[in-house]
Amino acid sequence: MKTNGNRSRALSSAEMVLAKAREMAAKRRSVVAVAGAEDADVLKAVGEAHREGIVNALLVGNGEKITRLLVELELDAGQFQIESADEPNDSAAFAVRACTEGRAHILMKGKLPTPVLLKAVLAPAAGLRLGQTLSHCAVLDVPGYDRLLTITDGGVLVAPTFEQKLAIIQNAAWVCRVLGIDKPRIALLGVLDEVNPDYPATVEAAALAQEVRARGMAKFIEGPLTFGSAVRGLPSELRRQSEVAGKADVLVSNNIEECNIAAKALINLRGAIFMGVIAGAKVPLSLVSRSDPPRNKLASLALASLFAGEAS
Amino acid sequence: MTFDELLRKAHKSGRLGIVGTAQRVSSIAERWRREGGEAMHLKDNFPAALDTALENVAKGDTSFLLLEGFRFLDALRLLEERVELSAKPLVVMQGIEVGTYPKTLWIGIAPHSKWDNSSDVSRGISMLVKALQVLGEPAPRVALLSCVETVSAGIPSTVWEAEIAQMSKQGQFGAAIVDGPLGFDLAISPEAVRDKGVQTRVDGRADLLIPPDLNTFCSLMDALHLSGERKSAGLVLGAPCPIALPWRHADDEDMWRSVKIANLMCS
Repeated sequence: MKTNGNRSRALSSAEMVLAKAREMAAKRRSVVAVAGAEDADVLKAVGEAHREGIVNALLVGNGEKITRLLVELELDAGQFQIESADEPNDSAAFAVRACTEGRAHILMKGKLPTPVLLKAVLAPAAGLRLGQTLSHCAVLDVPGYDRLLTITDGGVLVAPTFEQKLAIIQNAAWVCRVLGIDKPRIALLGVLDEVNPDYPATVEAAALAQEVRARGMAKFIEGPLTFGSAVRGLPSELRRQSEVAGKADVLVSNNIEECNIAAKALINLRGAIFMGVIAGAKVPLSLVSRSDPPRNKLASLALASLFAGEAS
Repeated sequence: MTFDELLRKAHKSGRLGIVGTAQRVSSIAERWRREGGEAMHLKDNFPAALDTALENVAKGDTSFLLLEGFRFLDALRLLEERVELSAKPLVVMQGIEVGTYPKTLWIGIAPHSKWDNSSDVSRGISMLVKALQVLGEPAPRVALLSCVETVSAGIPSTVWEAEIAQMSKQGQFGAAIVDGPLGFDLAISPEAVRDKGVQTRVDGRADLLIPPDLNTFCSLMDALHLSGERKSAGLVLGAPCPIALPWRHADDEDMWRSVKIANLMCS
Protein backbone atom coordinates (compact mmCIF):
# COMPACT_ATOMS: atom_id res chain seq x y z
CA MET A 1 0.00 0.00 0.00
CA LYS A 2 1.50 3.30 -1.03
CA THR A 3 1.23 5.91 1.72
CA ASN A 4 2.65 8.72 -0.39
CA GLY A 5 3.90 10.62 2.64
CA ASN A 6 0.31 11.24 3.74
CA ARG A 7 -0.28 13.79 0.98
CA SER A 8 -3.94 13.47 0.23
CA ARG A 9 -4.13 15.10 -3.22
CA ALA A 10 -1.05 13.48 -4.68
CA LEU A 11 -1.30 10.54 -7.04
CA SER A 12 0.96 7.76 -5.82
CA SER A 13 0.58 4.95 -8.35
CA ALA A 14 0.04 4.26 -12.04
CA GLU A 15 -3.40 2.91 -11.13
CA MET A 16 -4.29 6.27 -9.60
CA VAL A 17 -3.03 8.07 -12.71
CA LEU A 18 -5.27 5.87 -14.87
CA ALA A 19 -8.26 6.43 -12.59
CA LYS A 20 -7.73 10.19 -12.62
CA ALA A 21 -7.36 10.17 -16.42
CA ARG A 22 -10.66 8.26 -16.78
CA GLU A 23 -12.37 10.67 -14.39
CA MET A 24 -11.15 13.69 -16.35
CA ALA A 25 -12.00 12.10 -19.70
CA ALA A 26 -15.55 11.50 -18.53
CA LYS A 27 -15.95 15.28 -18.46
CA ARG A 28 -13.87 16.08 -21.52
CA ARG A 29 -11.85 13.62 -23.51
CA SER A 30 -8.46 14.85 -24.77
CA VAL A 31 -7.38 14.33 -28.35
CA VAL A 32 -3.97 12.86 -29.06
CA ALA A 33 -2.38 13.85 -32.37
CA VAL A 34 -0.11 11.05 -33.53
CA ALA A 35 2.62 12.08 -35.97
CA GLY A 36 3.70 9.15 -38.15
CA ALA A 37 0.75 7.03 -37.04
CA GLU A 38 1.54 4.18 -39.46
CA ASP A 39 3.06 2.17 -36.61
CA ALA A 40 1.32 -0.91 -35.24
CA ASP A 41 2.63 -0.53 -31.68
CA VAL A 42 1.57 3.08 -31.43
CA LEU A 43 -1.85 2.34 -32.91
CA LYS A 44 -2.29 -0.49 -30.44
CA ALA A 45 -1.50 1.89 -27.56
CA VAL A 46 -3.82 4.58 -28.88
CA GLY A 47 -6.56 2.00 -29.52
CA GLU A 48 -6.25 0.72 -25.95
CA ALA A 49 -6.34 4.25 -24.50
CA HIS A 50 -9.42 4.98 -26.62
CA ARG A 51 -11.08 1.75 -25.49
CA GLU A 52 -10.31 2.70 -21.88
CA GLY A 53 -12.08 6.00 -22.48
CA ILE A 54 -8.99 8.12 -21.90
CA VAL A 55 -8.35 9.79 -25.28
CA ASN A 56 -9.65 10.33 -28.78
CA ALA A 57 -7.12 10.27 -31.57
CA LEU A 58 -6.10 12.19 -34.68
CA LEU A 59 -3.88 9.88 -36.71
CA VAL A 60 -1.51 11.66 -39.09
CA GLY A 61 0.68 9.84 -41.61
CA ASN A 62 0.31 7.50 -44.54
CA GLY A 63 -3.47 7.18 -44.58
CA GLU A 64 -3.51 3.95 -46.55
CA LYS A 65 -1.06 2.23 -44.22
CA ILE A 66 -2.84 3.56 -41.13
CA THR A 67 -6.18 2.21 -42.32
CA ARG A 68 -4.67 -1.16 -43.20
CA LEU A 69 -2.98 -1.46 -39.81
CA LEU A 70 -6.19 -0.52 -37.99
CA VAL A 71 -7.97 -3.35 -39.81
CA GLU A 72 -5.17 -5.79 -38.98
CA LEU A 73 -5.35 -4.75 -35.33
CA GLU A 74 -9.14 -5.13 -35.38
CA LEU A 75 -9.61 -1.48 -34.45
CA ASP A 76 -12.56 0.44 -35.86
CA ALA A 77 -11.12 3.07 -38.19
CA GLY A 78 -14.35 5.03 -37.88
CA GLN A 79 -13.49 5.89 -34.28
CA PHE A 80 -10.46 7.92 -35.29
CA GLN A 81 -9.76 10.99 -37.40
CA ILE A 82 -7.18 10.16 -40.07
CA GLU A 83 -5.14 12.80 -41.93
CA SER A 84 -2.81 11.84 -44.77
CA ALA A 85 0.73 13.24 -44.76
CA ASP A 86 3.29 10.88 -46.23
CA GLU A 87 6.52 12.75 -45.48
CA PRO A 88 7.72 12.71 -41.84
CA ASN A 89 8.23 16.49 -41.81
CA ASP A 90 4.68 17.07 -43.10
CA SER A 91 3.25 14.56 -40.67
CA ALA A 92 5.01 16.24 -37.75
CA ALA A 93 4.00 19.72 -38.88
CA PHE A 94 0.35 18.71 -39.28
CA ALA A 95 0.17 17.07 -35.86
CA VAL A 96 1.88 20.07 -34.25
CA ARG A 97 -0.51 22.44 -36.00
CA ALA A 98 -3.47 20.48 -34.67
CA CYS A 99 -2.11 21.07 -31.16
CA THR A 100 -1.44 24.77 -31.84
CA GLU A 101 -4.99 25.25 -33.08
CA GLY A 102 -6.45 23.45 -30.09
CA ARG A 103 -7.84 20.52 -32.08
CA ALA A 104 -5.49 18.18 -30.23
CA HIS A 105 -4.15 18.33 -26.69
CA ILE A 106 -1.40 15.71 -26.67
CA LEU A 107 1.31 15.13 -29.24
CA MET A 108 2.50 11.59 -29.74
CA LYS A 109 5.45 10.25 -31.69
CA GLY A 110 4.76 7.46 -34.14
CA LYS A 111 6.98 6.13 -36.90
CA LEU A 112 9.25 9.09 -37.48
CA PRO A 113 12.59 10.16 -36.04
CA THR A 114 12.33 11.95 -32.68
CA PRO A 115 14.43 14.94 -33.86
CA VAL A 116 11.94 15.56 -36.69
CA LEU A 117 9.10 15.85 -34.21
CA LEU A 118 11.08 17.93 -31.70
CA LYS A 119 12.11 20.31 -34.48
CA ALA A 120 8.48 20.80 -35.44
CA VAL A 121 7.53 21.42 -31.80
CA LEU A 122 10.33 23.94 -31.29
CA ALA A 123 9.73 25.84 -34.56
CA PRO A 124 8.79 29.39 -33.50
CA ALA A 125 5.90 29.44 -35.95
CA ALA A 126 4.34 26.40 -34.25
CA GLY A 127 3.67 28.47 -31.17
CA LEU A 128 4.12 25.52 -28.82
CA ARG A 129 7.27 26.75 -27.12
CA LEU A 130 6.97 27.96 -23.60
CA GLY A 131 10.36 29.66 -23.93
CA GLN A 132 12.04 26.92 -21.98
CA THR A 133 13.91 23.73 -22.67
CA LEU A 134 12.17 20.46 -23.48
CA SER A 135 13.10 17.55 -21.24
CA HIS A 136 11.97 14.00 -20.69
CA CYS A 137 10.47 12.82 -17.41
CA ALA A 138 10.13 9.14 -16.59
CA VAL A 139 7.43 8.82 -13.94
CA LEU A 140 7.86 5.42 -12.30
CA ASP A 141 5.58 3.41 -10.07
CA VAL A 142 8.23 1.35 -8.28
CA PRO A 143 7.07 -1.59 -6.16
CA GLY A 144 8.05 -0.93 -2.55
CA TYR A 145 8.44 2.85 -2.92
CA ASP A 146 5.62 4.77 -1.31
CA ARG A 147 5.20 7.41 -4.01
CA LEU A 148 5.66 7.97 -7.72
CA LEU A 149 9.30 8.59 -8.63
CA THR A 150 10.09 10.98 -11.46
CA ILE A 151 13.56 10.55 -12.98
CA THR A 152 14.84 13.11 -15.46
CA ASP A 153 16.25 13.60 -18.11
CA GLY A 154 16.82 10.26 -19.81
CA GLY A 155 15.51 11.13 -23.23
CA VAL A 156 16.23 14.59 -24.61
CA LEU A 157 19.24 16.49 -23.23
CA VAL A 158 22.46 14.51 -23.51
CA ALA A 159 24.73 16.48 -21.19
CA PRO A 160 22.64 19.35 -19.87
CA THR A 161 24.29 22.62 -18.94
CA PHE A 162 23.66 24.36 -15.61
CA GLU A 163 20.90 26.49 -17.19
CA GLN A 164 19.36 23.49 -18.90
CA LYS A 165 19.31 21.65 -15.59
CA LEU A 166 17.34 24.53 -14.10
CA ALA A 167 14.81 24.04 -16.91
CA ILE A 168 14.79 20.28 -16.29
CA ILE A 169 13.95 20.95 -12.64
CA GLN A 170 11.20 23.39 -13.64
CA ASN A 171 9.71 20.84 -16.04
CA ALA A 172 9.85 18.10 -13.41
CA ALA A 173 8.10 20.38 -10.93
CA TRP A 174 5.38 20.92 -13.54
CA VAL A 175 4.98 17.15 -13.92
CA CYS A 176 4.68 16.87 -10.15
CA ARG A 177 2.01 19.57 -10.03
CA VAL A 178 -0.01 17.59 -12.56
CA LEU A 179 0.38 14.58 -10.27
CA GLY A 180 -0.99 16.63 -7.38
CA ILE A 181 2.38 17.17 -5.70
CA ASP A 182 2.57 20.89 -5.02
CA LYS A 183 5.84 20.83 -3.10
CA PRO A 184 7.91 18.09 -4.67
CA ARG A 185 11.00 16.83 -2.92
CA ILE A 186 13.79 17.05 -5.48
CA ALA A 187 17.15 15.28 -5.26
CA LEU A 188 20.08 16.28 -7.44
CA LEU A 189 22.07 13.11 -7.91
CA GLY A 190 25.73 12.66 -7.10
CA VAL A 191 28.03 9.78 -6.28
CA LEU A 192 28.28 11.10 -2.71
CA ASP A 193 25.94 12.89 -0.31
CA GLU A 194 28.48 15.66 0.21
CA VAL A 195 30.36 18.05 -2.02
CA ASN A 196 33.75 16.70 -3.03
CA PRO A 197 35.80 18.45 -5.72
CA ASP A 198 37.14 15.06 -6.86
CA TYR A 199 33.63 14.37 -8.16
CA PRO A 200 32.57 17.46 -10.17
CA ALA A 201 28.90 16.47 -10.33
CA THR A 202 28.65 16.87 -6.56
CA VAL A 203 29.88 20.46 -6.84
CA GLU A 204 27.36 21.27 -9.56
CA ALA A 205 24.53 19.63 -7.65
CA ALA A 206 25.17 21.84 -4.62
CA ALA A 207 25.34 24.96 -6.80
CA LEU A 208 22.11 24.00 -8.55
CA ALA A 209 20.29 23.43 -5.28
CA GLN A 210 21.41 26.84 -4.07
CA GLU A 211 20.30 28.51 -7.29
CA VAL A 212 16.89 26.83 -7.28
CA ARG A 213 16.30 27.92 -3.69
CA ALA A 214 17.49 31.45 -4.47
CA ARG A 215 15.04 31.68 -7.38
CA GLY A 216 12.22 30.23 -5.30
CA MET A 217 11.67 27.46 -7.85
CA ALA A 218 11.23 24.68 -5.28
CA LYS A 219 11.02 24.51 -1.52
CA PHE A 220 12.48 21.06 -1.00
CA ILE A 221 15.58 20.51 -3.07
CA GLU A 222 18.85 18.94 -2.04
CA GLY A 223 22.06 17.96 -3.74
CA PRO A 224 24.24 16.14 -4.01
CA LEU A 225 22.40 13.05 -2.86
CA THR A 226 23.11 9.55 -4.03
CA PHE A 227 20.23 7.71 -5.67
CA GLY A 228 20.19 5.38 -2.67
CA SER A 229 20.03 8.19 -0.11
CA ALA A 230 17.33 9.98 -2.09
CA VAL A 231 15.01 6.98 -1.94
CA ARG A 232 16.15 5.15 1.21
CA GLY A 233 17.45 7.91 3.51
CA LEU A 234 20.87 9.20 4.43
CA PRO A 235 23.48 6.88 5.94
CA SER A 236 23.39 7.23 9.72
CA GLU A 237 27.01 8.40 9.95
CA LEU A 238 26.16 11.64 8.16
CA ARG A 239 23.99 12.75 11.10
CA ARG A 240 22.19 15.49 9.24
CA GLN A 241 18.55 16.27 8.71
CA SER A 242 17.08 16.14 5.24
CA GLU A 243 13.67 17.07 3.86
CA VAL A 244 14.38 15.07 0.71
CA ALA A 245 16.41 11.97 1.57
CA GLY A 246 14.29 8.85 1.73
CA LYS A 247 11.22 10.56 0.30
CA ALA A 248 12.28 12.06 -3.02
CA ASP A 249 9.62 12.67 -5.65
CA VAL A 250 12.14 13.71 -8.30
CA LEU A 251 15.67 12.59 -9.11
CA VAL A 252 17.64 14.85 -11.43
CA SER A 253 20.50 12.96 -13.05
CA ASN A 254 23.80 14.28 -14.30
CA ASN A 255 23.41 13.14 -17.86
CA ILE A 256 21.07 11.28 -20.17
CA GLU A 257 22.80 7.92 -19.70
CA GLU A 258 22.60 7.86 -15.92
CA CYS A 259 18.88 8.57 -16.01
CA ASN A 260 18.06 6.29 -18.92
CA ILE A 261 19.99 3.31 -17.56
CA ALA A 262 18.78 3.61 -13.95
CA ALA A 263 15.15 4.02 -15.08
CA LYS A 264 15.36 1.04 -17.43
CA ALA A 265 16.89 -1.05 -14.63
CA LEU A 266 13.87 -0.26 -12.44
CA ILE A 267 11.47 -1.01 -15.30
CA ASN A 268 13.08 -4.17 -16.59
CA LEU A 269 14.35 -5.80 -13.41
CA ARG A 270 12.34 -4.24 -10.58
CA GLY A 271 8.87 -4.29 -12.12
CA ALA A 272 8.39 -0.52 -12.18
CA ILE A 273 5.53 0.80 -14.30
CA PHE A 274 6.81 3.51 -16.61
CA MET A 275 4.97 6.64 -17.69
CA GLY A 276 7.01 8.87 -19.98
CA VAL A 277 6.39 12.41 -21.08
CA ILE A 278 8.39 15.22 -22.65
CA ALA A 279 7.60 18.42 -20.79
CA GLY A 280 8.37 22.05 -21.52
CA ALA A 281 6.01 22.76 -24.42
CA LYS A 282 2.40 23.91 -24.30
CA VAL A 283 1.25 20.34 -24.84
CA PRO A 284 2.71 17.14 -23.44
CA LEU A 285 4.66 15.03 -25.85
CA SER A 286 4.26 11.29 -25.48
CA LEU A 287 6.84 8.79 -26.69
CA VAL A 288 6.40 5.07 -26.32
CA SER A 289 9.01 2.49 -27.17
CA ARG A 290 8.29 -0.63 -29.20
CA SER A 291 9.54 -2.76 -26.33
CA ASP A 292 7.34 -1.06 -23.71
CA PRO A 293 4.72 -3.46 -22.41
CA PRO A 294 1.10 -2.42 -23.15
CA ARG A 295 0.46 -1.30 -19.55
CA ASN A 296 3.32 1.22 -19.80
CA LYS A 297 2.07 2.61 -23.09
CA LEU A 298 -1.42 3.04 -21.67
CA ALA A 299 -0.10 4.62 -18.49
CA SER A 300 2.03 7.06 -20.52
CA LEU A 301 -1.00 8.24 -22.46
CA ALA A 302 -3.01 8.50 -19.26
CA LEU A 303 -0.29 10.71 -17.75
CA ALA A 304 -0.22 12.91 -20.86
CA SER A 305 -3.98 13.31 -20.69
CA LEU A 306 -3.65 14.71 -17.16
CA PHE A 307 -1.47 17.52 -18.53
CA ALA A 308 -4.02 18.21 -21.22
CA GLY A 309 -6.74 18.35 -18.57
CA GLU A 310 -4.73 20.80 -16.48
CA ALA A 311 -4.07 23.09 -19.41
CA SER A 312 -7.73 23.31 -20.40
CA MET B 1 26.38 -18.65 -13.17
CA THR B 2 24.52 -17.94 -9.93
CA PHE B 3 25.68 -17.08 -6.42
CA ASP B 4 24.54 -20.47 -5.15
CA GLU B 5 26.68 -22.23 -7.74
CA LEU B 6 29.64 -20.05 -6.81
CA LEU B 7 29.25 -20.64 -3.09
CA ARG B 8 29.17 -24.38 -3.67
CA LYS B 9 32.55 -24.07 -5.39
CA ALA B 10 34.10 -21.83 -2.74
CA HIS B 11 37.20 -22.93 -0.82
CA LYS B 12 37.06 -23.31 2.91
CA SER B 13 40.54 -22.13 3.66
CA GLY B 14 42.66 -19.04 3.33
CA ARG B 15 43.67 -16.18 5.56
CA LEU B 16 41.07 -13.45 5.65
CA GLY B 17 42.05 -9.97 6.80
CA ILE B 18 39.11 -7.85 7.93
CA VAL B 19 39.25 -4.08 8.08
CA GLY B 20 36.20 -2.68 9.83
CA THR B 21 34.75 -1.89 13.20
CA ALA B 22 31.15 -2.91 12.90
CA GLN B 23 29.89 -5.73 15.10
CA ARG B 24 28.68 -7.68 12.11
CA VAL B 25 32.24 -7.95 10.83
CA SER B 26 33.12 -9.97 13.94
CA SER B 27 30.43 -12.44 13.08
CA ILE B 28 31.86 -12.78 9.57
CA ALA B 29 35.28 -13.55 11.08
CA GLU B 30 33.73 -16.13 13.36
CA ARG B 31 31.79 -17.70 10.50
CA TRP B 32 34.94 -17.92 8.37
CA ARG B 33 36.82 -19.62 11.20
CA ARG B 34 33.98 -22.12 11.61
CA GLU B 35 34.39 -22.98 7.92
CA GLY B 36 38.03 -23.85 8.60
CA GLY B 37 39.71 -20.62 7.52
CA GLU B 38 41.77 -18.14 9.46
CA ALA B 39 40.65 -14.57 10.05
CA MET B 40 42.37 -11.52 11.44
CA HIS B 41 40.12 -8.63 12.43
CA LEU B 42 41.86 -5.23 12.41
CA LYS B 43 39.80 -2.81 14.45
CA ASP B 44 41.96 0.32 14.24
CA ASN B 45 40.77 3.37 12.38
CA PHE B 46 40.47 2.77 8.68
CA PRO B 47 43.70 4.11 7.18
CA ALA B 48 45.87 2.54 9.88
CA ALA B 49 44.03 -0.79 9.73
CA LEU B 50 44.24 -0.82 5.95
CA ASP B 51 47.98 -0.17 6.10
CA THR B 52 48.44 -3.08 8.49
CA ALA B 53 46.26 -5.33 6.34
CA LEU B 54 48.25 -4.53 3.20
CA GLU B 55 51.52 -5.15 5.04
CA ASN B 56 50.15 -8.54 6.05
CA VAL B 57 49.27 -9.26 2.44
CA ALA B 58 52.78 -8.29 1.32
CA LYS B 59 54.28 -10.61 3.96
CA GLY B 60 52.04 -13.45 2.81
CA ASP B 61 50.16 -13.55 6.11
CA THR B 62 46.82 -12.64 4.53
CA SER B 63 45.43 -13.99 1.27
CA PHE B 64 42.33 -11.82 0.85
CA LEU B 65 40.57 -8.90 2.53
CA LEU B 66 37.14 -7.67 3.55
CA LEU B 67 36.60 -3.91 3.82
CA GLU B 68 33.47 -2.90 5.68
CA GLY B 69 31.87 0.03 7.42
CA PHE B 70 33.34 2.76 5.24
CA ARG B 71 31.86 4.77 2.47
CA PHE B 72 32.36 2.94 -0.76
CA LEU B 73 34.27 5.57 -2.72
CA ASP B 74 36.29 6.68 0.33
CA ALA B 75 37.43 3.10 0.81
CA LEU B 76 38.48 2.86 -2.83
CA ARG B 77 40.27 6.20 -2.77
CA LEU B 78 42.30 5.21 0.31
CA LEU B 79 43.05 1.86 -1.23
CA GLU B 80 44.30 3.49 -4.40
CA GLU B 81 46.53 5.85 -2.45
CA ARG B 82 48.17 2.89 -0.76
CA VAL B 83 48.43 0.41 -3.59
CA GLU B 84 51.07 0.80 -6.21
CA LEU B 85 49.11 0.32 -9.38
CA SER B 86 50.90 -0.77 -12.52
CA ALA B 87 49.23 -0.41 -15.88
CA LYS B 88 46.14 -1.98 -14.36
CA PRO B 89 43.41 0.19 -12.87
CA LEU B 90 41.64 -0.67 -9.63
CA VAL B 91 38.40 -2.25 -10.77
CA VAL B 92 35.14 -2.73 -8.89
CA MET B 93 32.88 -5.64 -9.68
CA GLN B 94 29.46 -5.79 -8.05
CA GLY B 95 27.12 -8.72 -8.59
CA ILE B 96 23.40 -8.78 -8.03
CA GLU B 97 20.66 -11.36 -8.37
CA VAL B 98 17.04 -10.40 -8.71
CA GLY B 99 14.18 -12.77 -9.38
CA THR B 100 13.55 -11.28 -12.81
CA TYR B 101 16.91 -12.28 -14.31
CA PRO B 102 18.06 -15.89 -14.53
CA LYS B 103 21.68 -15.46 -13.45
CA THR B 104 24.02 -13.20 -11.51
CA LEU B 105 24.35 -9.83 -13.18
CA TRP B 106 27.75 -8.27 -12.62
CA ILE B 107 28.39 -4.56 -13.01
CA GLY B 108 31.94 -3.30 -13.36
CA ILE B 109 33.88 -0.06 -13.49
CA ALA B 110 37.28 1.37 -12.65
CA PRO B 111 35.97 4.21 -10.48
CA HIS B 112 38.92 6.52 -10.54
CA SER B 113 40.60 5.70 -13.81
CA LYS B 114 40.00 7.69 -16.96
CA TRP B 115 36.89 5.71 -17.84
CA ASP B 116 36.27 7.61 -21.02
CA ASN B 117 38.54 6.22 -23.66
CA SER B 118 38.86 2.83 -25.19
CA SER B 119 42.36 1.95 -23.98
CA ASP B 120 41.64 2.53 -20.27
CA VAL B 121 38.29 0.83 -20.47
CA SER B 122 39.62 -2.15 -22.41
CA ARG B 123 42.20 -2.80 -19.67
CA GLY B 124 39.44 -2.75 -17.06
CA ILE B 125 37.21 -5.01 -19.13
CA SER B 126 40.04 -7.50 -19.65
CA MET B 127 40.43 -7.75 -15.85
CA LEU B 128 36.71 -8.19 -15.36
CA VAL B 129 36.48 -10.84 -18.07
CA LYS B 130 39.36 -12.78 -16.50
CA ALA B 131 37.64 -12.59 -13.12
CA LEU B 132 34.42 -14.00 -14.55
CA GLN B 133 36.40 -16.77 -16.21
CA VAL B 134 38.03 -17.62 -12.87
CA LEU B 135 34.56 -17.76 -11.35
CA GLY B 136 33.50 -20.28 -14.00
CA GLU B 137 32.05 -18.39 -16.97
CA PRO B 138 34.36 -19.24 -19.92
CA ALA B 139 32.72 -16.88 -22.44
CA PRO B 140 31.10 -14.02 -20.54
CA ARG B 141 28.72 -11.72 -22.38
CA VAL B 142 29.61 -8.11 -21.70
CA ALA B 143 27.22 -5.25 -22.50
CA LEU B 144 28.59 -1.73 -22.87
CA LEU B 145 25.68 0.37 -21.66
CA SER B 146 24.41 3.60 -23.14
CA CYS B 147 21.07 5.22 -23.80
CA VAL B 148 21.10 4.45 -27.52
CA GLU B 149 22.28 1.65 -29.78
CA THR B 150 23.80 3.84 -32.46
CA VAL B 151 27.13 5.66 -32.40
CA SER B 152 26.69 9.38 -31.95
CA ALA B 153 29.43 11.97 -31.64
CA GLY B 154 27.14 13.86 -29.28
CA ILE B 155 27.21 10.96 -26.81
CA PRO B 156 30.94 10.26 -26.34
CA SER B 157 30.48 6.92 -24.59
CA THR B 158 28.87 5.48 -27.71
CA VAL B 159 32.08 6.20 -29.61
CA TRP B 160 34.46 4.39 -27.27
CA GLU B 161 31.94 1.63 -26.68
CA ALA B 162 31.81 0.96 -30.42
CA GLU B 163 35.62 0.88 -30.48
CA ILE B 164 35.65 -1.68 -27.67
CA ALA B 165 33.02 -3.78 -29.47
CA GLN B 166 35.24 -3.74 -32.54
CA MET B 167 38.22 -4.90 -30.43
CA SER B 168 36.07 -7.77 -29.22
CA LYS B 169 35.23 -8.79 -32.77
CA GLN B 170 38.96 -8.86 -33.46
CA GLY B 171 39.48 -11.25 -30.56
CA GLN B 172 41.07 -8.89 -28.04
CA PHE B 173 38.97 -10.26 -25.18
CA GLY B 174 39.41 -13.93 -26.08
CA ALA B 175 36.22 -15.95 -25.79
CA ALA B 176 34.29 -13.10 -24.18
CA ILE B 177 31.57 -11.41 -26.22
CA VAL B 178 31.74 -7.65 -25.72
CA ASP B 179 29.15 -5.52 -27.51
CA GLY B 180 27.85 -1.98 -27.41
CA PRO B 181 26.59 0.62 -27.26
CA LEU B 182 23.47 -1.06 -25.91
CA GLY B 183 20.47 0.22 -24.02
CA PHE B 184 19.87 -1.48 -20.66
CA ASP B 185 16.87 -3.40 -21.95
CA LEU B 186 18.84 -4.85 -24.86
CA ALA B 187 21.54 -6.02 -22.45
CA ILE B 188 19.22 -8.06 -20.27
CA SER B 189 16.13 -8.90 -22.29
CA PRO B 190 16.10 -11.25 -25.31
CA GLU B 191 12.50 -10.10 -25.88
CA ALA B 192 13.60 -6.46 -26.16
CA VAL B 193 16.30 -7.51 -28.64
CA ARG B 194 13.69 -9.30 -30.73
CA ASP B 195 11.08 -6.51 -30.45
CA LYS B 196 13.53 -3.79 -31.45
CA GLY B 197 15.15 -5.88 -34.16
CA VAL B 198 18.65 -4.94 -33.02
CA GLN B 199 21.58 -7.18 -33.94
CA THR B 200 23.64 -7.77 -30.81
CA ARG B 201 25.93 -10.62 -29.89
CA VAL B 202 25.08 -10.16 -26.22
CA ASP B 203 21.51 -11.06 -27.20
CA GLY B 204 19.85 -9.87 -23.99
CA ARG B 205 21.82 -12.33 -21.86
CA ALA B 206 24.59 -10.21 -20.35
CA ASP B 207 26.78 -11.51 -17.54
CA LEU B 208 28.51 -8.19 -17.10
CA LEU B 209 27.32 -4.62 -17.61
CA ILE B 210 29.77 -1.78 -18.19
CA PRO B 211 28.19 1.61 -17.44
CA PRO B 212 29.53 4.66 -19.25
CA ASP B 213 30.61 6.56 -16.12
CA LEU B 214 30.85 6.49 -12.35
CA ASN B 215 27.62 8.46 -11.77
CA THR B 216 25.73 5.92 -13.83
CA PHE B 217 27.40 3.00 -12.08
CA CYS B 218 26.39 4.30 -8.64
CA SER B 219 22.81 5.16 -9.63
CA LEU B 220 22.38 1.81 -11.38
CA MET B 221 23.60 -0.07 -8.32
CA ASP B 222 21.29 1.92 -6.03
CA ALA B 223 18.34 1.42 -8.38
CA LEU B 224 18.86 -2.34 -8.35
CA HIS B 225 19.04 -2.29 -4.55
CA LEU B 226 15.95 -0.11 -4.18
CA SER B 227 13.33 -2.64 -3.24
CA GLY B 228 12.32 -6.22 -3.53
CA GLU B 229 14.26 -9.39 -2.93
CA ARG B 230 17.86 -9.50 -4.05
CA LYS B 231 21.23 -10.98 -3.28
CA SER B 232 24.48 -9.16 -3.91
CA ALA B 233 28.24 -9.38 -3.58
CA GLY B 234 31.09 -7.02 -4.34
CA LEU B 235 34.78 -7.33 -5.17
CA VAL B 236 37.74 -5.10 -5.91
CA LEU B 237 40.29 -6.32 -8.46
CA GLY B 238 43.74 -4.98 -9.27
CA ALA B 239 44.95 -4.70 -5.66
CA PRO B 240 47.69 -7.02 -4.29
CA CYS B 241 44.99 -9.49 -3.27
CA PRO B 242 41.26 -10.00 -3.91
CA ILE B 243 39.15 -7.69 -1.77
CA ALA B 244 35.54 -8.17 -0.71
CA LEU B 245 33.82 -4.78 -0.77
CA PRO B 246 30.03 -5.08 -0.63
CA TRP B 247 27.76 -2.32 -1.90
CA ARG B 248 26.60 0.30 0.59
CA HIS B 249 23.18 -1.29 1.12
CA ALA B 250 24.57 -4.76 1.69
CA ASP B 251 23.23 -6.95 4.47
CA ASP B 252 25.15 -9.60 6.43
CA GLU B 253 24.53 -12.30 3.84
CA ASP B 254 25.74 -10.03 1.05
CA MET B 255 28.92 -9.47 3.02
CA TRP B 256 29.41 -13.18 3.62
CA ARG B 257 28.81 -13.89 -0.07
CA SER B 258 31.40 -11.24 -0.99
CA VAL B 259 33.96 -12.90 1.29
CA LYS B 260 33.37 -16.34 -0.19
CA ILE B 261 33.63 -15.09 -3.77
CA ALA B 262 36.75 -13.03 -3.01
CA ASN B 263 38.23 -16.23 -1.61
CA LEU B 264 37.43 -18.01 -4.88
CA MET B 265 39.39 -15.33 -6.67
CA CYS B 266 42.51 -16.31 -4.68
CA SER B 267 42.90 -19.42 -6.80
